[in-house]
Amino acid sequence: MPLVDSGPDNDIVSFNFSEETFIATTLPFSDVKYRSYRFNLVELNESLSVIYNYDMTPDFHIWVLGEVGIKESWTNLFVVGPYNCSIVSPVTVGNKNRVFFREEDSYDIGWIDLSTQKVQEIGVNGELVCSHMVIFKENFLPFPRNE
Amino acid sequence: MFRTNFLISKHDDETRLLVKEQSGFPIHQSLSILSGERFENRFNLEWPLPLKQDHNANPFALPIFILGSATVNGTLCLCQGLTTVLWNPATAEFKILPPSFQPAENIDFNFPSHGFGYDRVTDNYKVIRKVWYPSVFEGCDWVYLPDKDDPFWERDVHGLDKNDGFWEENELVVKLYQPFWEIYSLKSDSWRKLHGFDDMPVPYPGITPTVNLNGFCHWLTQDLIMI
Repeated sequence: MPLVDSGPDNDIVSFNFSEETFIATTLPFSDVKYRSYRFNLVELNESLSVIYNYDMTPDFHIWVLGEVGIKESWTNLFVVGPYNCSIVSPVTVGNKNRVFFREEDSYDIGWIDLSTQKVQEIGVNGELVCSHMVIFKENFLPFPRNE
Repeated sequence: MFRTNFLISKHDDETRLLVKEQSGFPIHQSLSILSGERFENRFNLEWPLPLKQDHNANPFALPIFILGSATVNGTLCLCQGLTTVLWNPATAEFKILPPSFQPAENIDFNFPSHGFGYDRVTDNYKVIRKVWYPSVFEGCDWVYLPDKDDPFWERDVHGLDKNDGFWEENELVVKLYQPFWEIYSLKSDSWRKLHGFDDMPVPYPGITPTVNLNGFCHWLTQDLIMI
């Protein structure tokens, strides 16, 4: 899935639910847009990050966004891998040092712990489009209502 | 250094995943919660009442989409066809969203909602989506017919439409509007138009779900073209 940038500086769009405004953010890299890579937006430890891998290799490049809308606030975090698994694409869900990914051939879902570099699989088949996964936190409060 | 500081030293092992799996045709879709250090414990969930999967009644159910990357205060936003439902699995409370804010009545929009989030300032759940006419409506104007008890029908209409200006003069032509964004608020239980953002692009469909985080939702846009 190579990507080509065709538009203005709104690679990422963010919506602020309190102010009800949209904010556009440009990706930190323009050079790599023309290369072959797998690519996703991911929450990583409470920050918005972009995770991708070049040329279908089992490693990840991770950028973290400091402030929404500010292109200069991207930090190139690191490259992790290569891992002992088939070609991978990151999925949107990341959490507590974990980056979840989908294996290219089997569609199996796995995750990498960035602090220990361990790769683990979970028993879920993540066939493209058909499956979806979210971080679940329980809350027993009723929906907000007008006073 | 940034890397060391960025990574947190310990997991809280209470992270749980909610997974939707879909298989076969007609499709079967299930929902489970995975927990444990390696997500080895699986607990199956029933879909909320408005989206119940009754294969006898309707063998060709539409796929259900979960909006976003995480629950928002324990709440999920689910879309199936044109139905959008807010749902808290822990309390089983749910809310079916009303139909879109529509400049012209009786036209269904063919796109599901795009983003779901929490407004902490007013303690409110909100959903956004971009609406436009289905593509079959594009490229022409549509004539609006008044209700059957409208005085219009008492007029002699024979031959009137030979006058080119007739439909416009009587304000019976519905102009197709440009696509726009609208927002739903749970507390007002209604949609309204978001002004000034008509050009903001929608998420790239299917491949990159939105990320919800800290009162925002974020997405990659369609301006990134996959080739």
